Amino acid sequence: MILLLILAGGVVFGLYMAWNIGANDVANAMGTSVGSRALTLAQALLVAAVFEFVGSVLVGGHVTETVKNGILKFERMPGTESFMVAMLAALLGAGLWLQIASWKGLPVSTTHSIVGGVAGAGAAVAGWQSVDWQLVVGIGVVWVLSPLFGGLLAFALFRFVARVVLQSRTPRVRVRRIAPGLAGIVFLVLCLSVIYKGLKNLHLNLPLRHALPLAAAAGLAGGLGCAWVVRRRSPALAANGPFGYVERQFRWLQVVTACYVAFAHGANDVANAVGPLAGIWASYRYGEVARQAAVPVWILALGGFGIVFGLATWGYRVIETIGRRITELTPSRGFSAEFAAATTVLLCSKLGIPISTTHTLVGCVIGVGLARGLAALDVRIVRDIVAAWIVTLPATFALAALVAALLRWALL
Amino acid sequence: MRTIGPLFGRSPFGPLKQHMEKVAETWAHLRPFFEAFLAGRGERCREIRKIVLKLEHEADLVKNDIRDHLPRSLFLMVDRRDLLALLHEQDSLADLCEDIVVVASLREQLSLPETLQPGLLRIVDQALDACAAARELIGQLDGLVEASFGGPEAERVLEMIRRIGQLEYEVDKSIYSFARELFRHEETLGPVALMLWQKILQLLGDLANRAEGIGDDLRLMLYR
Repeated sequence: MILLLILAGGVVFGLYMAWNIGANDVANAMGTSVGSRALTLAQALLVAAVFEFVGSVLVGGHVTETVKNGILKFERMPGTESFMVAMLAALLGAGLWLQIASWKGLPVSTTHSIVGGVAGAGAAVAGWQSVDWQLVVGIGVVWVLSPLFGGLLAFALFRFVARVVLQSRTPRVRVRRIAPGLAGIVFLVLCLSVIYKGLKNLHLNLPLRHALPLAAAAGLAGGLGCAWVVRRRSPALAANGPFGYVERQFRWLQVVTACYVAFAHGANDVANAVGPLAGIWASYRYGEVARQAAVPVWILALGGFGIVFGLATWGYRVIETIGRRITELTPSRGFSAEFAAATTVLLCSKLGIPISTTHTLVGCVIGVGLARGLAALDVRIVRDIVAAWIVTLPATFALAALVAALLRWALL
Repeated sequence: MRTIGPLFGRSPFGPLKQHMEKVAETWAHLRPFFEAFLAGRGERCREIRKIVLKLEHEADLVKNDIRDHLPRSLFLMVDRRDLLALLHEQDSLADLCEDIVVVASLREQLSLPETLQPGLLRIVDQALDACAAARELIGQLDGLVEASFGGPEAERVLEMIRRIGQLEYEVDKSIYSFARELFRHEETLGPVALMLWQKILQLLGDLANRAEGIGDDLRLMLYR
C-alpha cells in the first residue's frame, strides 16, 4: 500500500516536474526561432510538442538511466523502500527549489536541481557514502564544459557562415549551395542518435555499421529536400537589401535546427522529470533495487506528455515573451547558436550526462556574439547563472535531504 | 523567470542612426541661414537660429539616451570606445551648426562684399556635402552588422570613407583661397568683421573635419 502510494506520488511529482520543464525551459530553446521569425508562435508550439515528445521517448532513456541508477550506489541502499523514498524526495526537493527560484526570479536549471536532489535524498536515507561523488563531480565538470564547448562550436559555425556566405561576393549563390549540406548534417545526426544504441525495447539498437549508412541516407534525403525548398525561391525576387534573401534562406535552416533543439532538449531534460520515477517504478515492479531494468517507454512517454502539457498550458506565453525580446537575432545567427546548442546537448544525452540546455544555449549565443555576430549582448546574465549554479546544488541537496528524512519518518 | 531573454541587449546602431538623422536636420538649416544672412534678412536669421538651437538640444537628448543604454556589461560587436567616439563626432556636427549660427549673429549687420558671397556659399555646400557623406556612411551600419563587419560590404564602406577624406580636402582648399580673398578686403571690412568671418570659416572647416572623423572612427571599427 505504502509502495503504491510512493509510486503514485512519483507519477504526480514527475508529471509536475515535466510540466515545469515544458512551461519554462522549452521556451529558451524555442524562443530564438520565434525571435528571428523563422517560426510563428503556433509553428514553434507544434515543432516543440512533436520533437520534445519524440526526443524524450527515443533518446531520453540514456540520461534517465543516469539519474535513476548512476548517482546513487545501489549496494549501499538499506532497502527497496528507502530507495523509493529517496527518489520521491529528490523529485519533491527539486520541485520545491524550482518553485522558490521562480518566486525569486533566479535563472535556476532543472537539471542541476534534480541532480542535487537525488544526491541529497540518497545521502539522507543511506548516508554520505551512498552517493557516487565521482559521478556527481564529473557531471558538474560537464556543466562547466558544455556551455564552453557549445560556445566554441557556435563561434566556429558563425565564422564559417560569415566567411563563406555573408562576406562573399555572391552571398545569394553561396547560401543556396551550403544550405542543403548543413540541413543534411542535422538530419544525419538526428537519425544516428535515434538508431545507434537507441532504445532496446523499440528495437532501435543498431550497430554502427548498420546505423551509419541508414543515417547517411536520411541526411542525403534531408539535404535534397532542403535543396528543393531553397531552389524554389529565386534570388531575383529578393529586394530586401543584400541580405534579405540570405536571411530568408537561413530561416529554412533554422526551422530544421528548431526541430533539432527541441529533440535534443527532450532527450536530455525528460530525465529530470522521469529519472526518479523510473527508479521508483523499477523498485515497485521488481521488488528490489533493480539496476538492469530498462526504462519502460511508457514512463518516457509520460514525461514527454508532461512537457507538451506544460508547453500548452503556460510555455507558449513564455515563448512569446522571449521571442518578442530576441529581435536582434537574425536567422543566420539563430541557426549557428541553435545548431551548436542542440549538438552539444544531444551529444551529452547520448553519453547519459544530464546538462542544462539553457546554460548551453547561453554559451552558444555568447559564442556567436564573440564571432561578431550580434550587435549587443548583456553578459550580466552570466553572473546570475553562475550565482544560481553555485546555490542550486547545496540548496536542492539540503531540501531533498530534509524531505527524505521527513518521508522516511512518516512512511517507513 | 529562468529565461535567456535578458541576454539580448539593445543594439546601439539603430539609435545611432536616429541621432545622425537629428543632426542632419540641424545642418539642413545652414544653407537657408546663410542665404538669409547674406541677403540681410535679420528676422529670418533669428527664426532659423532658434530652430537650430532647439534641434541641437534634441540631438543631445538622443545622445544621452544612447550613452545611458551602454552599460559596461554590454558586449558589443564593436569597441565601446570607438562607438562613443563616433557618437561624439556625430554630436559635434550639431554643436558646430549651433556655433556657426551663433557666431554669425553676434554682431548686427555683419556683411560680406558681394563678390565674396558665392565663394562662401560654395564652402557651406562643400562642408555639407562632407556631412551628407558621413550620414550616408551611418546608413550603411545595418548592412555592416548583417555582414559581421567584413567582406565586400566593408570594402564598399571603406571606399565611402576615402571619399569623405577627399571632400574634406576640397573644403580646406576652398577655405584657404576664400580667406586670402577675404583679407584683400581688410580695409573695408574692419578688424572685428574680419575676425568673425575668420571664426565662421574655421567652424565650417571643423564641420568637414568632424564628418571625416566619423569616417575615421568607423574605419577603426572595421579594422578591429
